[in-house]
Order: sequence, then C-alpha cells, then structure tokens
Amino acid sequence: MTHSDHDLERKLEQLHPMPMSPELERRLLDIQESLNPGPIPLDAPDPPLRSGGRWPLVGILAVAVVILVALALPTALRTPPSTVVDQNAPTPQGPHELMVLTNQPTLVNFQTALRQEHDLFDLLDHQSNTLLPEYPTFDQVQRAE
Amino acid sequence: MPPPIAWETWITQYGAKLLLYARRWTSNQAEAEDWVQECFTRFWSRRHEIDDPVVYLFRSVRNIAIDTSRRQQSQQRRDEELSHRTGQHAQFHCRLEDDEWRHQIETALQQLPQEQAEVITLKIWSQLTFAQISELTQTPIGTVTSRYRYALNTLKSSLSEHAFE
Repeated sequence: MTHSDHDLERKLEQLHPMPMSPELERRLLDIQESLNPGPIPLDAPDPPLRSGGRWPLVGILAVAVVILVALALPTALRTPPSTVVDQNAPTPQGPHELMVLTNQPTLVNFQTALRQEHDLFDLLDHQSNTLLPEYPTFDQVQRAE
Repeated sequence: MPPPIAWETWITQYGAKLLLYARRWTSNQAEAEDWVQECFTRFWSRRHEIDDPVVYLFRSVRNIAIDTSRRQQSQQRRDEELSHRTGQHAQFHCRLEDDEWRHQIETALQQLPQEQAEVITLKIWSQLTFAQISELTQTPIGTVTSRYRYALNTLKSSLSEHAFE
C-alpha cells in the first residue's frame, strides 16, 4: 500500500452509504413484529391450529367414528321379525310349518306346534277308530255259529 | 459467538451498508431494498445457528443477487436501462460540497470490474476485514487483497487529481 493508496482510502471513507429510505425502515420494523411477537397474554385466544397440530388426531377419530356408524347402521335399521302370529293366517299344522310361517323357531312356538300335532294325531286315531269296520270278535262268531 | 443484538440494532448498523452492497448488483433501488428485506428476514430466522452474522448478512445479499440475476437477466437489463434513463438513485450520502466527488466515485465504481468494485465496497464502506471478505466471496484471501489493490489503482487513475487535494 502506497501513501497515495492510504490517501485515497481516507477520501473514500468520507462518503457514507445512503441511509435507508423511511419506507424500507418501516417495512423492516413491521417484519420484526411478525418475526418476533411479544409475550402472549394469558387470556389470549388459542392460535389457529396448523397442520401437524391436533387436527390430524381429531380427523382420524372422526373417520373412525364414521366407519363404525356405517358398519352398525344397517344392523340397527333392520326390522326385527315379528313374533306375533297372524290370527287370520291358516293354522299351522306342524312345527315345521309354524317355523316357516313365523320364521321364528322359538321354543314356545315349537311346543305349541307339537301340542297341536298331538291333538291332530288323537283326532285321526279317533276318526280311524270310528271309521274302521267293526269285525266280530271270536266270541261273537262262536255265539253266532 | 457475539451476544444477541436487537433487531433494530442490526437494521441501524447494517441496513445502509447492505443496501449499498446490493447496489453493486443492481441499479434498481427498489429491487435492492427488496433484497435487503429478504436478507434480514433470512438472517433473523436463522440467527442462532450462524457463526458470523455479519458475513451471513452480506452473503445473503450476494446469493439473492446472483440468483435473481440468473433468473431475470433480460428483465434486469431492461430495468437497468430504465433506471439509467430516469436517473440513478444516489448510493452515497455526503456534504453538499462533496457532491461532485460523490458523483465521480459512483461513476468510477461503475467502471470497475464487478469483483473489484465488490471488494472495495465491502472493505471501505461495509468495514469488513479481508478475512471476512474472503469467506463471504469464497475467494482466497490473497486474491481478495490483490483485487483491492487493483481497484485502488484503477480508481486513482480514473479520478481527477483535485480529489486528492
């Protein structure tokens, strides 16, 4: 560095960079507020949630609830079959027929059907007894001879 | 690591210097101000991870300037032509009697090669050390000092003699 170099340096240093415009200063100070906010008061409302906060968990739970409801809904809405036997319907003649009519093979209906079936057999026995020809007994034949 | 300094202090100490440095890359004053603003924003968000905040600030301006000039070379040329037509925004602040000197300096700096004008600006008006300039420009320190000497010689020859009186 020569003497003239130092002179030039000193001369150049007499100039100063032009100060920032007031507009730029204001912009930078405005940025500061967004970059470095002050302390948050205790009664301040919660800041808006961003992705990565609680929303994903809430969303997953909501989807799970919707899926469970969708699975349970058809079963809940299905009308249970009526256990009341239509009085105008023809009388069931046996357990199987009763089960087909009511579509409900309950024990009560089964017992009722059995009872009705026994009654029917009794009736048939009685009718068969009355309808059978009366063959003469051995004593009656001997007496007749 | 230096103690933390308030945002306003950084702006006061380095705002004008960064703006002058940005003007080495663009003659558009508004664009230079945008770069400085972006540079401060980057710096403030990463200030705890930075070894040398001063070098980081100037390097941010440099990176933004280089990226922008690569992206918008044709647009920048049009802006510079428009800026020249509408009159240059002064880069230096001085007393009224030194206004002619200021004008000569600004003209001489424009005629310097970019890398020499950059070193002169960083050394004289940004008050960075040669080591900081070397780190900032990723250039060996010997090259930096050589550029500085070449720049002084060029300025001496281009400036009028009465400037040294």
